Amino acid sequence: MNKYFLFFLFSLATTVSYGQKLKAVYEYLLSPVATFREQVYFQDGIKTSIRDSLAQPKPQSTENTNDEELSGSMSVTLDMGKVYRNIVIQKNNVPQLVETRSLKGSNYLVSDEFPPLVWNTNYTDVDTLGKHICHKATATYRGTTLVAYYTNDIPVPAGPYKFGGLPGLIVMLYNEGANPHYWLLKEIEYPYTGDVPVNEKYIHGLPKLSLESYIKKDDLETEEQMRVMMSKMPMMDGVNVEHKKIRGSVEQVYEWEKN
Amino acid sequence: MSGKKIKHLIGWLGLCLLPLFAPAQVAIHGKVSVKGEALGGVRIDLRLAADSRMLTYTFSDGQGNYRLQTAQSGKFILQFKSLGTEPLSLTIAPTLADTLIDAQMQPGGVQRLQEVIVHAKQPYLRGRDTLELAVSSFLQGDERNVEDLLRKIPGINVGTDGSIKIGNKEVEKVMIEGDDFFEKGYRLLTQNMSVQPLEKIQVLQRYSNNKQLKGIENSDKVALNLQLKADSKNQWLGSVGLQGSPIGSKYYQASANLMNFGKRNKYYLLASANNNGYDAVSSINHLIQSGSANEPGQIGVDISTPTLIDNTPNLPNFDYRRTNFNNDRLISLNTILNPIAAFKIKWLGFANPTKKSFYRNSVQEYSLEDIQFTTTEKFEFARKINNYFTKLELQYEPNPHATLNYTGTLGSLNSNEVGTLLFNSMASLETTKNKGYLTNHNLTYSYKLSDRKALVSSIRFINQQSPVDYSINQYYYEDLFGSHSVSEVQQHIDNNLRYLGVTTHYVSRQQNGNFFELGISSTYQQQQFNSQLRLLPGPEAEHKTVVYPPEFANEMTLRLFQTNLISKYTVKHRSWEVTPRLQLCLAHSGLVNFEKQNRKNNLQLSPGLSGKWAVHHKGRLETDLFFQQQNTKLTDLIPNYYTTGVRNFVKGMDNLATLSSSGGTLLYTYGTMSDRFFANLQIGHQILFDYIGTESDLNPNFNLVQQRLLKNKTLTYYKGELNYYLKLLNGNIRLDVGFNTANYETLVAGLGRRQIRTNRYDYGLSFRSSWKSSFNMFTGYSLQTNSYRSEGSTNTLTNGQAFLNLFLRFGDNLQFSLKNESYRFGAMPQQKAQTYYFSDFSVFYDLRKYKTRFDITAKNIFNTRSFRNAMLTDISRSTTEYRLLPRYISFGIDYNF
Repeated sequence: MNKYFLFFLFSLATTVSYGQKLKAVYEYLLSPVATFREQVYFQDGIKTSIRDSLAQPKPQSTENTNDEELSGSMSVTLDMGKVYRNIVIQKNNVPQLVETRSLKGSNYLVSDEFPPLVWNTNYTDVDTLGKHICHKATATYRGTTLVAYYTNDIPVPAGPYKFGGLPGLIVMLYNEGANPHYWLLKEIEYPYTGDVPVNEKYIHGLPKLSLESYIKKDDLETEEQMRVMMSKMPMMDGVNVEHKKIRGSVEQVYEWEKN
Repeated sequence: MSGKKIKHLIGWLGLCLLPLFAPAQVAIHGKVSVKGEALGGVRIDLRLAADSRMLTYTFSDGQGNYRLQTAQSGKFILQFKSLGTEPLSLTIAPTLADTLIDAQMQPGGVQRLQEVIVHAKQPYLRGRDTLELAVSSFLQGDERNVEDLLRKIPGINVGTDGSIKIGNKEVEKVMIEGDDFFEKGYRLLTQNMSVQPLEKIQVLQRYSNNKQLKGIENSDKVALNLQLKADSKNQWLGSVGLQGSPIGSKYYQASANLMNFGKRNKYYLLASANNNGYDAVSSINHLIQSGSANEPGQIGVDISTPTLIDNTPNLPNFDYRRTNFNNDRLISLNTILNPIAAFKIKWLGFANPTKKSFYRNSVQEYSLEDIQFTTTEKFEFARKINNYFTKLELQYEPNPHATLNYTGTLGSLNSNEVGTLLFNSMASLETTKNKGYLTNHNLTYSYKLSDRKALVSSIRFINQQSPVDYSINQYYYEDLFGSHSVSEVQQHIDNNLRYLGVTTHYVSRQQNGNFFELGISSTYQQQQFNSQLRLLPGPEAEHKTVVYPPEFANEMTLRLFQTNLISKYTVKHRSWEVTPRLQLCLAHSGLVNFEKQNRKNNLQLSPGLSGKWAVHHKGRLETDLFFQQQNTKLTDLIPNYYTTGVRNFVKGMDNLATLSSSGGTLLYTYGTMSDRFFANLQIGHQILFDYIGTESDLNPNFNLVQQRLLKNKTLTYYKGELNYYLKLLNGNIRLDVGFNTANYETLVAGLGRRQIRTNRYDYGLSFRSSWKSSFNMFTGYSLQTNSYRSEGSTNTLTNGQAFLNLFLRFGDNLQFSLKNESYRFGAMPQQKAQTYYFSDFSVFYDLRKYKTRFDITAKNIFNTRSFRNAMLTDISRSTTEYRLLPRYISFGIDYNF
């Protein structure tokens, strides 16, 4: 009996001290009109990030929310087919991560040979976000520069999407450029006792693709759409069809695309 | 020892001593545990004890192991931190290259976290509309100009025509240090300025031209602002370009752009000259016409004296450069000064001494019952233009919520035209002299009452004089004035305008997006029109006196005092918006013709309603309905005849009238440009309850045209544009169909009222490729049929146009383009159908490394020397032949510095 009690106490102690789940909710701002909710679960070096497939409805009551109103609502949106939520599963010490991505209305499990992020934390910039004092860090990542603010108060090397590895939890992250994507930490819960809402069986049952072949397929699709658009543009003197590739994601240039 | 050996030895010695100089690597490793159990996920960071700067960090793995390395030496603080344990901090001074430190943690610390974080600074909200990019992170060293730099910034798209887009939106302007010279003509800046002085680029989202309207105006405009390095002052940058044809006809084009931008003072200088048909002033149009009329609180934007005599060829859809035999010179100086932060001075001045020649032969055929004749005109014009123009803008911001803006322009617009004319086989010399003077002053005060409300007030004063002296040394008008001996017919016109307008607009945007605008304005406009036709006696004249036909003299003044109340309210909903509008106008007009006075006071009402509705996910409907009441213009009221050229004498209706009209349009759009199928369908109908028609007295040597107030003209149109992207051909097929019809009356002396019905059918089919290859094409054909039906007889003319443009591109540096066009004009009773072919070729080569661009251009390869255009009106058929610039090949070079 005593033995069992001790064992019980011991197991309780370990769960309290180690192996607790952290849940963080980020707001992902793709553009002034599109905001997505992204949930990140971190436990035992395994990070799972789940981004909603639908943009968040705009809260009506708060001030300023209508500043960016309707410029998009009256315009007709692109038909991208069915879009699934984006799930990223990243394991410690495993260079490869997996994520789910949609293409032409189908969902795929895409494996990404994720290049390690080399963070430069050598900044003195400090910003207070919420009640947390945050430090700046930067890293070059797939053709763009990431700027992150992390907090030492929460010593968890996690962050939104595929990002993490800083001394503390990422509170804000964006990429430098003319159309930055922002991630803002909105909620934290620790210890989080619920389950990670991911059906592993479903995910691993999805058709598999490497990131490279997925991106190539996706680019073809986007290029097709760009060409459809360019072929309808009004003709101007000296204008030619442009083949410039602009990806609507943070990832602009992939490893295999470098010369 | 040989020198070689000594070197060898020193090298070895250096290598052996290296570890002594290099700081020693210290590795700290160990195991973290809590209550004897290995603990993973603990952050271990190493800091210098002196300033607690973090040197390195790591997280313990699942077995609790960690390893840190540092090149520093001395005293360190080693911190262990994780959620659910008490933080542990150890002060260490490791001397061994391999230091083992195991840590025992205690449960405690942060046991629970449950918080919602409120970010005080939200991206994309107020103040965050500005995005700042450091130039240095995008520079790669091969940038010829700002445009090349912008191409490298993710999210910015630069078209091959130089247009800059952020996402899909074209930028409104590109400023330097918040100052703007060029507005939409920003290519002058981005293509001619080099990148060295740049430090930062700001992307300004939801930009408003009027700062005080930001956030109130429903703006989705974007602008760029270039920020300069502090030490970039007094650096002259720019470009020079030269193009010339060494063989055959001598054509050239030369231009130089010079700019100097400092934080306080900015200068931009442009000089250009050409004789290849290019209108040099068009390159600075954006500098001359600033401000947009669509913004609230503007007044008198498009007020000017009417143009009375204009011989410039008007060939829609035809490249004007082909007919323009010119010698253009332009020099323009622009400067912006910021003596203090709240005050800005902007000055522009240009001079444009230009010579232009046109050649025009026309045949006009009248065939209306008893009126049957043909007139012929052979014209050779030589025009000398001397325009001087200056504009001053002052901007003062007494506080962040108020802006005071003054714009003043002063212009002297002179032209002297000599026309050698063979009219109905009689030769004559025609001269037209314009000596215009213009001054225009505008003061605008904008005040932001709150985040959502603003008041914009303006006052404008205009004084313009556009006198014309016309003379022709041949007397064609014996049937009109009798058979005197006349050596010359002269006409002097005084055409003056004075205008004073005041307005105040209140704009408010509510939280739900609804927009309200209320404006009140008062304007006073005085227009003077004096004209006198003189018949100078010839050598055989009995009486050597000048004859002044009284029916061909005017001395009129039109005074118009208007008070307007304008209101507009936009109601927005998720899928629709509706904007009712109402304009109330109290108009007092007075017309003095010699001694005779005529007055009219009336109230005019112009209500309207526009709406937009997203019918379904791909379709969108837009509509506009209106009823409108307007005053007659000066040219509609001129009591007696004046001449507008050799053949035409025109007069107004001498009657102040109010013109009412009503109409509606409906537009349906399906899909967007990026959909395979994209269509636009449009219907419009308009009824002019009162309109100004003409009564013509037709004679072989002259037309007397009198304006008449007529009733009930109807206009209807249908238009469709269908686009389909054909996967098989990888290109877009576009079909255009249009139908226009109008029913109205016109009067011809001797024939009375004639009911006219016009129909116009437009068909177009085009294909534009979007191939991945370096070769692409754009080709199409369009057909237009015009018909006029009156008194049972119908005149029809069908004209067609085809084009084939081919593009070839090798990388970014080498581009070829070949443009072919053909125009076919339908048969006329005395003329067969004719087709004209044109072909132009150009090749560009960019040598970016040397900031140089080369080009070869061949124009008019088929050497088509004339072009005969056929046209139909409700009383005549005409063909006009223009002489064209010959074939030439030119070589050009552009250099940026």
